[in-house]
Amino acid sequence: MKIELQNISKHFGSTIALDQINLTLKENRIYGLLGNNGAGKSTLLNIITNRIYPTEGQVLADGESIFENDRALGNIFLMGEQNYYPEDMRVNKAFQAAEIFYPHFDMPKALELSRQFGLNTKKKISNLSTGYASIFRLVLALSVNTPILLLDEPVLGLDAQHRDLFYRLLLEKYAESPCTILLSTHIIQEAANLLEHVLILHNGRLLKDMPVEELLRGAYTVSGPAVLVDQYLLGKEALSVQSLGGLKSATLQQGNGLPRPVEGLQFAPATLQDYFISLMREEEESC
Amino acid sequence: MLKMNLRPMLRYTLRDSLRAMSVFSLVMLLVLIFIPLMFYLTSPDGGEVHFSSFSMAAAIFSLVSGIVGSREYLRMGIQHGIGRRSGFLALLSTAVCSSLLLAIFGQLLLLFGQAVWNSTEIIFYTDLYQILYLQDAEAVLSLGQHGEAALCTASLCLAAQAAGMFISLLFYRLNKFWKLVAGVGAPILFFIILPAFLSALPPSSPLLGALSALGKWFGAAVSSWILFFLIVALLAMALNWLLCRKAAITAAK
Repeated sequence: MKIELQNISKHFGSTIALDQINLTLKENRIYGLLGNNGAGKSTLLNIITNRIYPTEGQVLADGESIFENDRALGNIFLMGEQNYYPEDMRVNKAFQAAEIFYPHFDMPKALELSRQFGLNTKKKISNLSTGYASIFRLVLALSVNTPILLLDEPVLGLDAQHRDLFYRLLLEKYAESPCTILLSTHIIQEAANLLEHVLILHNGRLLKDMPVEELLRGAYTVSGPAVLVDQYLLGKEALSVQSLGGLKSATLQQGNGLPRPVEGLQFAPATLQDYFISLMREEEESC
Repeated sequence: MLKMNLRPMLRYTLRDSLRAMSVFSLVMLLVLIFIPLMFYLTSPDGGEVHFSSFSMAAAIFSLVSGIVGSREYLRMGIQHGIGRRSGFLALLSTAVCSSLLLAIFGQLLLLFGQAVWNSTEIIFYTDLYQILYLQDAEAVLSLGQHGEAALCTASLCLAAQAAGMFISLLFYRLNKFWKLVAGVGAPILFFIILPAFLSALPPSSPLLGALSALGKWFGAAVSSWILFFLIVALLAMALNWLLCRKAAITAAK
């Protein structure tokens, strides 16, 4: 199933949360949705799942509008930050409810994942800690088996061990039964290895919509003594420059691969996080 | 219609509603047994009590169900890929089913209560319908009258549930300022301003005349009762749909 967003805008009073977003989520890919706080990521996910209506534009699933379209909506599962379950509902009852709504819900898998994460299925959802509330939601997400899976900050509150387990399980799931995954996260470094395609939002606008490989082609960081870095940067356009005392580092994008070594300077391929931070700085400076 | 997935939503809401109704019904059965029993054991000689509780209790239960259930079910629906239209239809269908089931249970309880208590000649188990339209709280109802009584209760419960949903959805859609206005203003309007206004009207006032005529029509026949509450339910449900069709469905705070 392919999802298309056409001219999506969302205004909350005078605040423009999303501004003319056009993008397509193709089948069986892992997308990363990146952006600073308040960029509009959660708003975008809520519009895709019809939790809120856009001010303008439409969302299409295989050419059909998703609004009030249960057939399309039933193929999309959003694991959001907020809890939509009744406060007094227990985890096991939530799994039973999911079984009613999703014909392919894998209850044995949900129970096994709960065991792996140490999630007490008899506990009330409202009594779960922040971390375990996230675990509850991602166990559901990994068990519903919908063609499209949207994950909004899935590792919020999770410790390192659980985060590692989650990423492994997500990849296993993707390998066993490929689906479209859209992962919205602030922890870019950890998720970077999973992502095939990146969507970067800033102040409601879509800045980048491209495969990770293409995004990072020719991107590298150069660091060293400030004088040498300044000399190196002459005639070049840096995405961002950072100073710390007598040291400087810069992110650039040109050519393919790393440039020839220069004495006194260190070169490294830019990571997705480096690139993202540089891009955000560039945007903020231009605003 | 092809784009709707009503079945799982209906299954969920009906199951949840039946669970709540079972608890309510058990409580009402215990009330039917123990409250009259307490009176029977402590009553003075020659005393008589007409005990009727089910219809009003069922109406209050339905009102609360409407208040609590509407937002919860819409949230569950949207979390699981069910749109507002299917969610609302499930709510409506569940309200109708639960009202009918409560009404049927109410009549079974009436039969049971009358069988157990009326022979004591001290406690007479009766019903709102019986009090209003038969003017004989001690009479044993015919099958047709039980049917009418059931329809009375069903229409009352449906209207109450629709009203509960309206209150909940209205507060869902209003911003903070209007919530305060509605929350404070509505009780003042209905319990202070309106009674004061009506009592200040002269007896010959056309408004009082119209209200009196309405009251007479209401009490004249059981069909008036049923029609009145069905109209209330219909209007409330129409408003409820308008309130939820474009609502932003957010998580509970």
